[in-house]
Amino acid sequence: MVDRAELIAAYLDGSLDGEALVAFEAEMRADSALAADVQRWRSNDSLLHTAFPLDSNGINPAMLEKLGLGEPVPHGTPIPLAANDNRWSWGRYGIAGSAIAASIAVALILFQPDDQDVAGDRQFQIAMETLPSGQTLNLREKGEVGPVLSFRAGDGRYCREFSGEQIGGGIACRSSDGWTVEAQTVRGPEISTNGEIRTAAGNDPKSLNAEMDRLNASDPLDKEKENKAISSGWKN
Amino acid sequence: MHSGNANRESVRVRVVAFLPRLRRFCAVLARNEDRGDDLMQATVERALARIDQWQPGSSLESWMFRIAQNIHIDEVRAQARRGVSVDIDEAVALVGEDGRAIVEERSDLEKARSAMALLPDEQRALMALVVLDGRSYKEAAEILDIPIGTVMSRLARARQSIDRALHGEGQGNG
Repeated sequence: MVDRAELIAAYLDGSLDGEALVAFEAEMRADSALAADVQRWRSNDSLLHTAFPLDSNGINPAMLEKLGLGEPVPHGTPIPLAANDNRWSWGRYGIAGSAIAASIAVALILFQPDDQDVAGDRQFQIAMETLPSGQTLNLREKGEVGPVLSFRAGDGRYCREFSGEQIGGGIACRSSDGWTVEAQTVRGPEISTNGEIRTAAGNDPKSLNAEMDRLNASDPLDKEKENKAISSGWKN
Repeated sequence: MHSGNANRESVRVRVVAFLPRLRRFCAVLARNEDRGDDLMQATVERALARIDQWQPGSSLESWMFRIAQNIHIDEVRAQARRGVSVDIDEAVALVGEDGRAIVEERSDLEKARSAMALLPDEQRALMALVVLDGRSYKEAAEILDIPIGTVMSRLARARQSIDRALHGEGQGNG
């Protein structure tokens, strides 16, 4: 028999669907104690993500050689991303050395872009809701995806730029119904292990900057504000 | 099956791309960054030596997670036979953190690492696979060779323990 703790865990892990999901969400609306437990466990998960980051530091040629994987991994072409005249660039640089780093560098070789809207994917919703920028989750059939930076739109909504192995990059904003994809590019920015931002041919992160302008976006949230927003369920 | 240079290169590239995630999994399993790197090295060596046993079309990553888990179990059993115990203070000296973290946050992060390190092996492996890496229950069940019902119950118990460790005894009943 599935107990209450198992239901909360399954909900947070995206493993409830259909009638079970509808019933659980109805129960949460009716039971504030349950809703509080769910929110607290979600914050715990988020803290664990921060405590155990994907770390590319030290995965260098010497380690690859030691592991019998010695040859350098080919990279894409660095994009002409303005480092100093673009208020978004620091946020993207901030995740250098992170999860997306090594995986996306290689993803350019291994995968084709996927144009499907991913907002309906429960793992995508979980990633946007709980992950600190620079961390990723696996979207089952669509590879790794994670937030790159967070900001507030002019209408007050929280929004996050995301990047993924197969789904490309984009911007998702939080409403009462969850995260909605506002814009999506062919492929997200690629961050190599040395912090250099690269991209696949044809991808232009300036298009996301234009979307941010359209959304009348604030400056990117710093780490502390982003953590508070995650902990509050993006409600503060 | 994997005799061609192109296939070999494709596997190598995939393994390199997978290393950060394998490294985190190994560090969580081993409760220590250095031992985690040793486990990662042993995993990669075994995977490359036995690459012909991997079925193309199946998940290379899941296969390597399973290898890491098996090597870890063997090591834990060997330690038990030798009577080796792990110092919990050493155990919580885990994966590095952002140097910009403020003191209060660092304290929370240390508590989170300690809470994870105190979990039983089988719960810690599941938390690493499902919560940190985003594996589905089905994938986690296949990697660890356990029923999905066991995945659900172990994750619930693990989260209750984590919650109690982070927020006190009054929490964690779910």
